[in-house]
Amino acid sequence: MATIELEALGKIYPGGVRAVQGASLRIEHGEFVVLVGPSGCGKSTLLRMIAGLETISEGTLTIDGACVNDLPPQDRDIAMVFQNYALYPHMDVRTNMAFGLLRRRRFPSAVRALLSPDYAANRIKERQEIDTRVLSAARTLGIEHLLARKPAALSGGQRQRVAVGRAMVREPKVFLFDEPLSNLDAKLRVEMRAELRMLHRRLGATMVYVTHDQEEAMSLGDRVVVLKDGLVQQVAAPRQVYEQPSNRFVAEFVGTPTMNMILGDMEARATGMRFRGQGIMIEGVLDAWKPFIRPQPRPVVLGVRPEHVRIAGGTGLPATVEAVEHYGDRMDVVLHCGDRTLTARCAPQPLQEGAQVAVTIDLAQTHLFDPDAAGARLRA
Amino acid sequence: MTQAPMRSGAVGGGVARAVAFATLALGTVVMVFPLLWMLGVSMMTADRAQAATVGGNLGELVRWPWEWEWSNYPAALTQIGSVPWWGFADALANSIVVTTLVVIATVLSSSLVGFAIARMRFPGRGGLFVLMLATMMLPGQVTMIPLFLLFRNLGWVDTILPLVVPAFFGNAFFIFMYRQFIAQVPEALVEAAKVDGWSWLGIWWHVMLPLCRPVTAICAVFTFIYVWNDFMGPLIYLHSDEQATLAVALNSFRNQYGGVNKVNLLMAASLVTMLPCILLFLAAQKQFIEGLGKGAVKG
Repeated sequence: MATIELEALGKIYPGGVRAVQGASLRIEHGEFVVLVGPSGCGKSTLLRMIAGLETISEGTLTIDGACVNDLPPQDRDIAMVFQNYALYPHMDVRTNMAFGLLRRRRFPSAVRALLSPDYAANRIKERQEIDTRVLSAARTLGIEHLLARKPAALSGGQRQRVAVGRAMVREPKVFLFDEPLSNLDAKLRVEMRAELRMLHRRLGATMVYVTHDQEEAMSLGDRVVVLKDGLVQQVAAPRQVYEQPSNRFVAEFVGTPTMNMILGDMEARATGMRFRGQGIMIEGVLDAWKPFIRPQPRPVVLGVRPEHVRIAGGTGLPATVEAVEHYGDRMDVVLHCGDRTLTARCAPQPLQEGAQVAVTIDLAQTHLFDPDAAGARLRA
Repeated sequence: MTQAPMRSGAVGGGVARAVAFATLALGTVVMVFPLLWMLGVSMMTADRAQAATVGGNLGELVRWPWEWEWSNYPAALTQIGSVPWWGFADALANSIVVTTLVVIATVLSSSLVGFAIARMRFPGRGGLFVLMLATMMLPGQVTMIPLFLLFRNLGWVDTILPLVVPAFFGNAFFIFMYRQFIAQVPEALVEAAKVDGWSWLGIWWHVMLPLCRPVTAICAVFTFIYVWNDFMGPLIYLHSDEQATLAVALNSFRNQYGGVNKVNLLMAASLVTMLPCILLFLAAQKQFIEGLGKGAVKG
């Protein structure tokens, strides 16, 4: 276990492309942190910088208080699981898992080993230790029966387990995962997700995990780091990221279907406050909005998650059902409301495309953002 | 009963196959004929071999009855060098030593350099690679005299060092082949090995070299055939009979017997000299063809 501290970490590639800018973050002992963001946001680069596979252009990276900026990967005591597993195709599973330990033998140099008086005894002891650790990791992951096989003879899920096992036997300070589940089918991905979670609980190790799948990030991480264009957008627990996104990007990136965003003006009214924009008008009283209310209309972006858009039987905003997606336990309804499209998530009900319905928006669950490019959150 | 209509495409395909088969068969005959001719002549009596070769009477090759002159082989081998059998044994041992060392050195050095060019980032990498490729354009004759002078100044003449040591510095063609092959190996394998704690040398030895088996097979076979048959190098650098390789010894044998008087013995000795190459090719044929294919596709 270890703490990892990133201080204003940056990566500039030759040609001036900034992949990561000013990333600051402290990862505690035994924490599971997930870096998430769209393609090209710099999450893998950040992970590779922690691994030592990319040089650090700016800032400081410390592991357990020691600056590791210039340390090669082999001296950082980390283990990494790669997206395509990176199993050595010419070695069987046992050797693949033991490969890292073979390097860390007491006598990595054959000459020094041969000169040692206890060479044979030490060699046997080391080999036994390695075998014990490989077997123990294999048992934990349920791949004991695969130890003699070559990677080509394994399924995707089995390869994934071997890759995790290879990291486990090393007993490193830090585990790094670079989109390890992205090559698996949806069902297996969900299974492996649960296994990784249990593994983290059992090992109690510090883990940093990269994914572009926000669902994976939310389900796995103790904390989630959302990145965009090389900049950290928010670092928080999954629930907080979902319920209190720091800006429009985070609000739209996290959650499926994506949050509905309505551009309009907010103004104070005698009865409370009023939001009006894109053909939609909402009036009500909400204490949390008060700090942002002015007598003059103020441009804002109102965000509301699909589960907080309700299809009501009686009064509400008039809307037309454009499309319905059934998921068995729930349904997503695409509605035309005012001048724009809203998505609502609700319990299954008999709704036909083209039907006229009334929509209500739960004001207490709405979010306000600046309408500028940064789109910062206005409510605490 | 219905009859399937005959498709013109099928007929065309059949003709094309027949033409291809005939062409390949003809090619095979053309390629194999010299070998069969050698084999035939090596089994003939001296008079008959004379008629078949110097006399130009190719009919002798198929004239029946055939006398199998197996004694040509021991007769030829005992006449190589000054001491019966030992001359041949010496030359054989020298050829084996030189060839083995050169094959090992070429495989190790070429794969190491190819790996470095393909995977390591260092200033001037591209330029060095181009420079190395440019050496392939340089005819061997151009460097012959400077190299001889260099090795003579080092006192290496009449030792196998001038033949073996340069091989430890890589071969441009094989470096190119290794580089192309290694460039196709996923980068993640190298990174995984780095994270596992291995140095560049360790990654090359434990990960890359085993993965490069097809290229190594082709490199080893090509180098073996080239060095085993090499005449010019040993002729320039190895002056004494004790140091001569088989190719040089065979040439001495030809000079000794005027070439045509004992052509049957010359062919027998040549065939014995060729035998390791033929056996190696037959043994490594699968890997060899596979390696050529991989080189072509991945290169």
